[in-house]
Amino acid sequence: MFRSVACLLMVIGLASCSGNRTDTDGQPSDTFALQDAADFSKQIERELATRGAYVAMVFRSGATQAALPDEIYYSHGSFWVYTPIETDDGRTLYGYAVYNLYHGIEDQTQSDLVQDWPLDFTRADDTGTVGIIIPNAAMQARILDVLASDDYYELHQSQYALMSSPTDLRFQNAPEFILDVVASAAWKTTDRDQIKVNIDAYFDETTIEIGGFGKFLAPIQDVRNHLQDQPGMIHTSSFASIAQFMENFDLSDESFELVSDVLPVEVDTGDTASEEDNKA
Amino acid sequence: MRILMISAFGMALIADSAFAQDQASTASNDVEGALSTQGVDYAVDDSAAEEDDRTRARRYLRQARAMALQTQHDSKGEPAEAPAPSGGLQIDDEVMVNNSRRAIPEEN
Repeated sequence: MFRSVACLLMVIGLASCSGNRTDTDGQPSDTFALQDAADFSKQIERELATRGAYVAMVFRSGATQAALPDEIYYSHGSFWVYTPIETDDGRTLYGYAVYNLYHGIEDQTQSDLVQDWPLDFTRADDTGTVGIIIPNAAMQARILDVLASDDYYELHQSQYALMSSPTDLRFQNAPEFILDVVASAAWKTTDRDQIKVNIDAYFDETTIEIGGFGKFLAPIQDVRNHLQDQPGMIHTSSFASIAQFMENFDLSDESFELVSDVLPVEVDTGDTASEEDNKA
Repeated sequence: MRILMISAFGMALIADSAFAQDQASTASNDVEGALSTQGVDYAVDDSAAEEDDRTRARRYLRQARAMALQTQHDSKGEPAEAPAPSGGLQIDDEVMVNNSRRAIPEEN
C-alpha cells in the first residue's frame, strides 16, 4: 500500500513538474527564426487575400503533435480580419488584424479578448502548419457584424478552461469562442443560452478519450484543466469539428491546411487527429 | 499495479501537455530590433494615437466591415473602390508589429 501511494505521488509530481514550455510566462515560443515566422505570417495573409477572404478563422498549434491528444491538432484559433491599417508614420497598409481569446499570464483561469497581428500568431506556432476556415460571403458579413458590435464582448466568457465544453456556459477557450461567434452569426442571436442549446443540437463535438484517473490528475497538474463542465468523456471544440459544422450547414466556402514554405514542418506520423483535420 | 501506473503517467502527460492553448504572444521592443537586423520590413500601427486598444480594434473591424460590404455592393455592378486587384485582396509586404500593448481588458 505504501509503495502504491508513493508511486502515485511520484506520477503526480512528475506531471506537475513537466510543465509546458510555452505556458510559463506567456511569451511567444519562437520555435522558428523571427524572419521565418514573419515570412510564414505573410504567406498566410497572402493565401487568405488571394482567396478574397475579408474574415477567416486560422488555427495554429503551440505544441508538437506528439504533445497533444490524438483528437486535437491545433491548440489555438483566432479571427483574421482584412482591414486598412494606419501606421504611426501616417501611411495606410492593407493586411489582416488578428482577434484572439487569450488566457491570462498571471491568472491562467481568466481570459481576455486581444487584438494583435499575424506575426504574433506565427511566433507562437510550433509546427509550421495552420488550419484555415473561410466562411462564405454571407457568413463573412454576418461574422463581421458580430465582431464589430458590442455582441462580440457579450459572447465572451472570461472563465477559461483548456478543454471547455462547447455546450456549457461556464467556461470558454479560444475555439469555443470562435464557435460561439459563428453560432451567433448563423442564428442571429446573442442569447448565450440559446446558442448553447443550438450547438448542443447541431454541433458534433470533438471527443477526447481520457479515463477517470486521467481526469483526476488533470486539474492537479494544471489549473486550466478544471473539468467541472465535463461530466463524462471530454467534449470540446476544435478546428476539425468547427470546419465540419460549417461545411455541414453551408456556412463556409472552404477549409484547408496551409503548410509553411519556409519553416521545417513537423513530420506527420499518421496519427488520427491529423487525418481528421485533413478531412475537415 | 504497474500497468495502472504507466497508464496514469501517460494520461498525466496528455493532460499536462494537452495544449499550449490560447497562449498569449507578445511583441516586445526586441522584435523591432531583430526584424531590422534580419532585414524584415515592418511597420508599427498607430498605437501612439490617442485611442484605447478596444477602440482601435473596433475601428479596424468597422473598416473591414465597410470594405466587405462595399465589395458585395460592387459585385452587383457598382464601380469598385475596395483595394481588390485581380487575384485577390491587396497585402502590403511590411510586417505589422505593435510594442505597446498586450491585452484589451474586459469587464465581463
